[in-house]
Amino acid sequence: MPTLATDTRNAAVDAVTALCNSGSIQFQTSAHNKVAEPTFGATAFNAASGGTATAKTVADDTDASAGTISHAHIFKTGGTDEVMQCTCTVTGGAGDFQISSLVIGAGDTVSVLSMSITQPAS
Amino acid sequence: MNEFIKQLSGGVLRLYDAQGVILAVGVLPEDVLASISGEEGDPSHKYVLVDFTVTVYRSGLACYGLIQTANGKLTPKLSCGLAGSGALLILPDAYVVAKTVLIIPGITLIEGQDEFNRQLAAILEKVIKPQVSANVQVIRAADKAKANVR
Repeated sequence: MPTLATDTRNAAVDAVTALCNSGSIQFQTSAHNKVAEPTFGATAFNAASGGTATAKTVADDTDASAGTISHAHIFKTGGTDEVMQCTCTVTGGAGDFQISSLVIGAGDTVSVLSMSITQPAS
Repeated sequence: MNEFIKQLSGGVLRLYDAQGVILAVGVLPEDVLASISGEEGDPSHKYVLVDFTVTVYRSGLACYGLIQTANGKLTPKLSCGLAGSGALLILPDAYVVAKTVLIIPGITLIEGQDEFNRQLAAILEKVIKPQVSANVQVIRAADKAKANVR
């Protein structure tokens, strides 16, 4: 199995995060209905370092729809082309996105406090 | 799983005897995935690869196979056996004869159902998949209303 050098890991992460510029994170129910959609800025992530890139400020969705979050899709700008699908669990679980509550009420605010993407070395 | 199964496309399968001697070699087709059934995460979620052929160069008792992917990764050992044995590589006879061509029926991979698949996932999936970590807070609409009143 190959082991990626740090520069390689940074390049891999930067290529992925560039796709997120002006994109969004769409939290969906198991039936793929949108619950909330916080949005990335024009430059979504800081440049990767040590194989990890951290997100710049993600704009809250201040008017979510009622539903129970099952998973999340990260979309490119325009909201149709997918970058990746991520798992979601309540905080303390093993999901990619750890959320204070998976059950969202109408009008709730969904706020991404922090986010990072890491390319492992191996 | 679909992503890393695609990595098998164009890979090279080698059959070995118990001493690790290569008996047969075959190339997997570029479109290796024949069908997917079941929903992801469901126990019935399985992948069936297409049939392909291997050419036997040396006679012997085939014990296991290895697939080297197009980008050089090596899968865990794939068990060889007769139909109904539960082996991943189904052979017409465990003893393979030099200068013959064998048809390997489509391999069936059931997600998360056996050690082979867990190992395959670990080998093929680990490097290509980035890891995401995020914390999300939900602020209730009712709480926002209270804040506005204050």
